[in-house]
Amino acid sequence: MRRLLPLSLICTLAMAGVARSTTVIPPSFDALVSGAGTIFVGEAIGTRAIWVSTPQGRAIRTQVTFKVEEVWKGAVGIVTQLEFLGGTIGDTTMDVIGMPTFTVGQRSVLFVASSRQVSPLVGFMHGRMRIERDYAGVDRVRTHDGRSLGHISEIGPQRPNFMLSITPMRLSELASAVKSRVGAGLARRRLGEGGRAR
Amino acid sequence: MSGSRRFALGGLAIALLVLASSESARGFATLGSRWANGTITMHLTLGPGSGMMPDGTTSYNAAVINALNVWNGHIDVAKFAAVPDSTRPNGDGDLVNHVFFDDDFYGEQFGELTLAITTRWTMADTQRVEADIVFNNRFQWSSYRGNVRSANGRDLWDITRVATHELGHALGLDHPDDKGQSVHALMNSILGNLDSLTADDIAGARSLYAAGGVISNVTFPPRNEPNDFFQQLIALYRDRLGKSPVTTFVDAEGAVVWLSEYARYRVGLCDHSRAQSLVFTIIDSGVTTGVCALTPAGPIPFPPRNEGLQFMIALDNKYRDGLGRGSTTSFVDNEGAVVWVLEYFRYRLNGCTHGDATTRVFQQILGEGIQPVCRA
Repeated sequence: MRRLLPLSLICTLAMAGVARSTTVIPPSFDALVSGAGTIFVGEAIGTRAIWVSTPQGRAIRTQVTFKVEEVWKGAVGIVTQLEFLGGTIGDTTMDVIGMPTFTVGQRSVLFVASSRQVSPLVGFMHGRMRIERDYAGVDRVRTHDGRSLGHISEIGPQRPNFMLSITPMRLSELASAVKSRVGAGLARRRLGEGGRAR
Repeated sequence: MSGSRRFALGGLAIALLVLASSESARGFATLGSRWANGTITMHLTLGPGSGMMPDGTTSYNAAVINALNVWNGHIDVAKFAAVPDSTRPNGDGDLVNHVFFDDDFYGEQFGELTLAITTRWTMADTQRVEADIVFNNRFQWSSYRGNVRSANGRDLWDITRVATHELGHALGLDHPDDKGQSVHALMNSILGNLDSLTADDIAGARSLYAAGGVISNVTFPPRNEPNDFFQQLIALYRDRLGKSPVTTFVDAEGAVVWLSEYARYRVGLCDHSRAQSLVFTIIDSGVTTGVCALTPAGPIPFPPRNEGLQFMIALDNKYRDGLGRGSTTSFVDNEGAVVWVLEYFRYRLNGCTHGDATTRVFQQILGEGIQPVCRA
């Protein structure tokens, strides 16, 4: 049987295919965490679409209000608001392909970019992870498009292009991984600062 | 167990793994809106490339025109047209379709991982009126065939490939892999070495813009069953609800047949006006046209009641004025016919048998509320 392990590994890798480019390059887990100014778990509690003027015309933006449950990086109040380009006002809809949309009651992990950009999330839509509660009451994590996220190594441009039936990782596991990465980043920055001081 | 037998079993396990993991052809995804038939004019202001590019293209405009023409080769009732080096100022929400490079997206940062953004503007949910495509200047661009390349230690992005993908969004196609599909498609959210449209991409575009419409992927029940339902409905209205006769110009069979056709076009993603027009074409000429698009996976959507009633009123008028039919009496008025026949079809198309659907509709009529369909 030992011969089969490398063989099946080769098969799996071959099936994964090349995934080098996209209109949005999927960020790795590290890039998600390091690129985010704040990371929090929130429940959408309200949405409102508004017309805005742009330097070259007009646009619709949707303000989504979140009740913040946990903060994993940065600082954010118990209620916060993010603005996403696109939305519907009356019978007019402006969509930005791939822009995350939220309905009231949905819970997500949000990796919010430090700077204002078209999508407030790191990696456009990739900075949103959906939370679902399983039959046992355990919160589990899915990607922005609803795929099971089995492990943080599945985040990023190497995401396999086939779907395997896996149990999504626990929200608590993702929280640990993020906090650990945030802690490592802080430690690296402190070391860097120390180096410069010398 | 002998070594060779173990190896054979292992091989079988791997084969099963391959089968379980391989891509299946379940289908494309659409964004739920389309352009009106005719010309979709794209104003290009991409400027020149850096001379001849590896695939022989001489400018970015030319590369995007190639991508437009690729889609045009597969669609019938709407076609892209290009205005190269357009002098129209770029603007969002101006009902002009712009394609250009920029450092930001209408004044806002792209985000460092975003190659290009496509927007779409729609009216009344289904009518697309504008699509802009903005490519991020901060990346290296070229035009080439084959595997993804690098230059100067950075990725070199093939504008033809990315433009073809974005133009698919402009037409109304979504990422199939973001919608739970597993297909080989340029419209998947992650592009790679695939540099041309696949059969799935083409099928998606044709579901929106093929001449003669599309063959519906929804099977309606045989006509005798809705006819039987309607006869039972008449009896219920007369005997149980004690309704009085009403005058109508559409007889019971006509109501069932044409509501069935109207529903077929609506679940085939035709809007109200087009569905009504196509049904009336059948009545007038006997010519049956395909539906407007394949029905997406999941619960089958049904039109709102007010539109069904509008259709029924128009049908009644057509029977009276266009076909010169005389009046007849029924115990089911037009509104009742529309509401309950469409409800019957909704249950049938969502997994209920004739008996189950009839029972559920009658439960609704008798005040027990909307019943669950027979599949999720």
